[in-house]
Amino acid sequence: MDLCYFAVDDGYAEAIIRGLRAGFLNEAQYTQMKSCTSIPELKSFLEETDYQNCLQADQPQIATSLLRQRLKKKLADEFDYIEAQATGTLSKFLFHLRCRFMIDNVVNMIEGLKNKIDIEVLLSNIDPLGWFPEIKNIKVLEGDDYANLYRDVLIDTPIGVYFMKFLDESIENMHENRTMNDIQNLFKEMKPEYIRTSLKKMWLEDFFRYSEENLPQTSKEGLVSLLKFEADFRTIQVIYNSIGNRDLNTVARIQTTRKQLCPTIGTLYPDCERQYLAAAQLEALREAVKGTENYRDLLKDAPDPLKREEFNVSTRTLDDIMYDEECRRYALAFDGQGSYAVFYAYLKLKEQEIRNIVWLAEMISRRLAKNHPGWKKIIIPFSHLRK
Amino acid sequence: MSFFRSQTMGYYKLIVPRESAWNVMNELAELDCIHFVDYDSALPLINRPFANYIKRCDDLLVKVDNIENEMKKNGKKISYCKDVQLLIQKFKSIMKERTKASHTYLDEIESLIDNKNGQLIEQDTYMESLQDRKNKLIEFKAVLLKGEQLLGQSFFQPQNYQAEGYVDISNKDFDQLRALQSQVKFNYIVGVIGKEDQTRFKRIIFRITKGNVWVNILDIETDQILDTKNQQPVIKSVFVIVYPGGGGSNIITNKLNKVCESFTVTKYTFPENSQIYQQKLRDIDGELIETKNLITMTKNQLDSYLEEFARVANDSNCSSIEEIKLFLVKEKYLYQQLNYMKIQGSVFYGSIWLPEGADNKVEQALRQIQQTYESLPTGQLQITPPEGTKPPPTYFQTNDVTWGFQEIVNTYGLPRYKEINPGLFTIMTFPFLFGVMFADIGHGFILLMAGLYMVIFNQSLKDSDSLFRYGLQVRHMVTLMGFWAFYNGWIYNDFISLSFDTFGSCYKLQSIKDEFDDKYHEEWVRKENCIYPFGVDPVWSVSANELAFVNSYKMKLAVIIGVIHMTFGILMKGVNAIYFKNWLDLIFEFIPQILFFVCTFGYMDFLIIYKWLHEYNPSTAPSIITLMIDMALAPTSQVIPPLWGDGWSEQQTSLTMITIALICAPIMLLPKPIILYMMSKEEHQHNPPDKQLYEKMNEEEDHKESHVVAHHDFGDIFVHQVIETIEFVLGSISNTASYLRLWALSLAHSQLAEVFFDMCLAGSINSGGFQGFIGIMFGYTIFSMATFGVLMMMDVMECFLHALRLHWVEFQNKFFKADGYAFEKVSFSKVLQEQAQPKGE
Repeated sequence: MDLCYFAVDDGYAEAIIRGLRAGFLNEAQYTQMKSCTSIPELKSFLEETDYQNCLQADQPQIATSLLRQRLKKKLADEFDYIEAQATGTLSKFLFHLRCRFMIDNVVNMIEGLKNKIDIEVLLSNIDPLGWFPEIKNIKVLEGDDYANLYRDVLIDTPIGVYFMKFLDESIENMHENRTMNDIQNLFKEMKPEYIRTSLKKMWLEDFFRYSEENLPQTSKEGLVSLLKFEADFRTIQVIYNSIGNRDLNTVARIQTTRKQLCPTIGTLYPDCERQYLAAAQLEALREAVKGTENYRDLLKDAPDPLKREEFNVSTRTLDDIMYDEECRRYALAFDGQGSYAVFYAYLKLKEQEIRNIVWLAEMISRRLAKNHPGWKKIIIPFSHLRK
Repeated sequence: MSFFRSQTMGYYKLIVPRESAWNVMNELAELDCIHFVDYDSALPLINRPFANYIKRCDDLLVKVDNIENEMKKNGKKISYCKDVQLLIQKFKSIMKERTKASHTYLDEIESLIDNKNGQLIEQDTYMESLQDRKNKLIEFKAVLLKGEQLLGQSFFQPQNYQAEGYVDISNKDFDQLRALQSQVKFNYIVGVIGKEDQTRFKRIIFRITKGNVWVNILDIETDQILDTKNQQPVIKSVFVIVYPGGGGSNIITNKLNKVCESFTVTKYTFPENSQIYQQKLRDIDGELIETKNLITMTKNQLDSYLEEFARVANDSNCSSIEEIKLFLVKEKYLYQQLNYMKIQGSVFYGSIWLPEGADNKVEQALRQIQQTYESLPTGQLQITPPEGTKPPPTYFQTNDVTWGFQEIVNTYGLPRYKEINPGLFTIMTFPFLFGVMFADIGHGFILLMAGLYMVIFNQSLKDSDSLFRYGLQVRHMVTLMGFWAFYNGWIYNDFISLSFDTFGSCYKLQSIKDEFDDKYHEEWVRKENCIYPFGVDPVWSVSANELAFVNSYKMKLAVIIGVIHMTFGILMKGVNAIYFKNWLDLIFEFIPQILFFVCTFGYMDFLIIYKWLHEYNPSTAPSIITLMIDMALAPTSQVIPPLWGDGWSEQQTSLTMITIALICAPIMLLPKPIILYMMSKEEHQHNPPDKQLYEKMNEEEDHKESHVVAHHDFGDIFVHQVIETIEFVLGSISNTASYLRLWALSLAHSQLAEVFFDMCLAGSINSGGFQGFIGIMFGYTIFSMATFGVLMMMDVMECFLHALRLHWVEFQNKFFKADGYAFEKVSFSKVLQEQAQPKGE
């Protein structure tokens, strides 16, 4: 039913997205890009594609980080434009999408400040999609703990909610007779990567609930299935990466950490939770997820995390496999009609494209041989639909 | 006859040595007669020989744009190029005077533009820094004034002044504070912040210090603080933070400093006592005046600098910046064309299409180059058989009259190479069909006059800002459309819903005695042997059965016109088949089609005209519709009432016609696919495998084209033919019906005109007197506006669209393949013309 009046409010925004579909690089263009021998050549190639305008002002020998920044800026501009056209539910939905980038930005800032990186450099590396005015003020709390950061700066921001939850949970998990100092130490020692994963997990759960409750039927169906997969992806990733992690040496610790980081949504939760939380080997993980969709097939080719030291560039890691699968799903979702999943898929696919270009730029700048397996490590959006 | 069929094309190879490539192309692009074939359209730009030149031109164009924007910002008038030819001549003469190789002129322009643009940017940054300084001064002044307001006079009172940088906030109203005065020391921060950050700033300070500081913010009420980039006023605010604390660095100071830093606010030190305060204020005022002077000076400098670009040269009639821009456009275009050529060693090979007769021109131009630049080797032209499977491009030389009509055809599809061009017939049929629908003496006349006005005053309208200038391109079409509307108006005898009694009606009013009640009443009686010479007798417009008569008349006329138009279209198919020597199409498509059409709808036309020419008793007159229905449903029974004879001879004729038509249908359907299939089978058997291999290679080269040519199996051919046949047979019925729109629109037009006239004017004219005068005054306003808006605008458009449709769908589908591609001539004047206009217009 909601398909009937989808176009009333959101038809224009969707139409823009459909138009932007033409901006995706196709396989032939990727082939040409791979044959570039230097960064200036790659840049002048990109200037013939949809990325023309965002690169024109730069030097031919563009740094990879700047290239990434420019590409992201273009994506952000497009997204801004669509957001400006969106009304009502859609604009709220699009804002939710932004939160993910905001979390990234905040965590990056914190990490950067910890490592004493210059604030200007940090600010110039902010993902424009997740920009919000308070981000500049994070610097104020240099050297402080996260509780203060939340209380003073992030409380007003859209991601403040997640941060608060994160703090609450972290404190709860501590032993009974905790002191103020313990808490401060905990936060000081906490790894930014851990914060990122937790925040993203909360965001994902929140976004999932939001999608389930507030979106029209068609959009809900599309998104719920996408998000479920993403949640599963996250769960598998967490488990996979924690296998053989030296920091998490006790069984109890590994279980609590995993429990804290695994999303409580998705197809794996709660049915397989007990199994995957306890999985200590890849085989156990495979066994844990075998009942759901094609996860077993996906995990079949994943290399054993216990042999992490042996990995090199040519290894097809779990991430690669999962990204590939994600890309397939997003491409399918993008072709769905009258659904907000299109916007989500677009963002994800564009991100993948940027990842691809930056990866290729990296390969080119390192002057790797053309038969190097790394060249094959790009996932071309929409290439799955042909198969 | 280059308009009936597209111009004959020849395929040539152009061989140009590398060193003279620029000159040759420069010369050839002025001839406007070459179509370059891209040797590999999949090749990306960067891999082509002149990619870096194009890139350079692009970069320079960006810079030129930058200068132009700067000029617009400073209110400089840019005169755009009006006469492109003049400019091309100027470029030519510049090239002649130069001693160095011609293509190096780009380098000169490049260094010139780089230099000038660099200077411009320098001046801009200087200007920005000045503006920044001015902003700072204004801000400081505002800080001083507002700060005094916020902190109060007491701030400067010496007894409260404690030590450098510390301030004792002494609010006289608070006794407690006064008591504390001597013990508590206060620090302060004063600065300027953007207005939009105000609330966030306040909030974060509150949070960090747990509310232990006093912050106050006041807007600066001036619009003199300008953004250094876009010169727009920015609103800023002065803030004052007062907080308790001792000297040196403590946590709060640190934190506040960090907050200020993260908001990128400008901090100012507030003077300690009133003397310094006054002194500072005076200093600032002095500096401000100085900076303002500097700014005006820089502005003047910039102005005269830009003036140089705006200067109009005598020999080109446009600003020098425009000259440079167009030169770059030309240069870029030239290199783009050169990129279509294949490079082998030091020689460029280009494949080109030339219209018949142009090869002499090209060769002459090549010889010319030899003479002018003796040191340069010139290019060569060779005729070669065409490569690839792409047919030659379609090229028509159009003029002001034919352009519009050709455009109508091209919008639907470009004619195939050497196919009959429907554009030629469109010139005649399009305005005529429009005229049939828009038939009205008055409205047609207005349209005709508008068209003639544009034709006659074409030159003077071109440069004026009259609204008519938008219609100049189609002025001839409007004139013709107006003429035919006017003419058909006479045929229908319709002048804005009234009829003219030009020749005297053939009917007269007569008093006739009624047989029943012996009373006289008036009746229209036809005069003996009178025939109204031209158009419809005006008496119909006052008769009661006007609509019935006019409708039947217009309807039949529409069908007759339609059948003639379509028959003509089918004939063109025959002519095409003969021209392309496609005997299969001629015998098994064209002949059955024309027979089918003539025997059904042609016969119907014959019946209509036959009936018009004979008089019948109104009560027993035969009906054409019944005749046509009986022809199909009861072809063997006697025709009652007959059009001629006793009905049997008519039945014989009908039967013959329907039989021919029925026989034609399977002839259209069966033989062609069967013969095609046999032929392709034979080809397969007789052909050596070599040819297949060749074809396969071709297919790989450009598979899109050869897919059409490639062999289909019998099913495909047959299905295709079934569709064609059904389309034709059903189409002949529906298309004929479609021509009824000629009647429908004409009816709508005349009825609308009548409604407007009756509602607005007729009543007042009839009543007369003063009341009528007032009525006409009001009525005429409405009438004229309705006539203009609804009839002269909307109805013209509607009739135009319907005429368009009749051409595209009903006429052109009979013969027109429309799968050609355009001949893109290499032409400087074309590309310069496109770029010569200011942007956004």
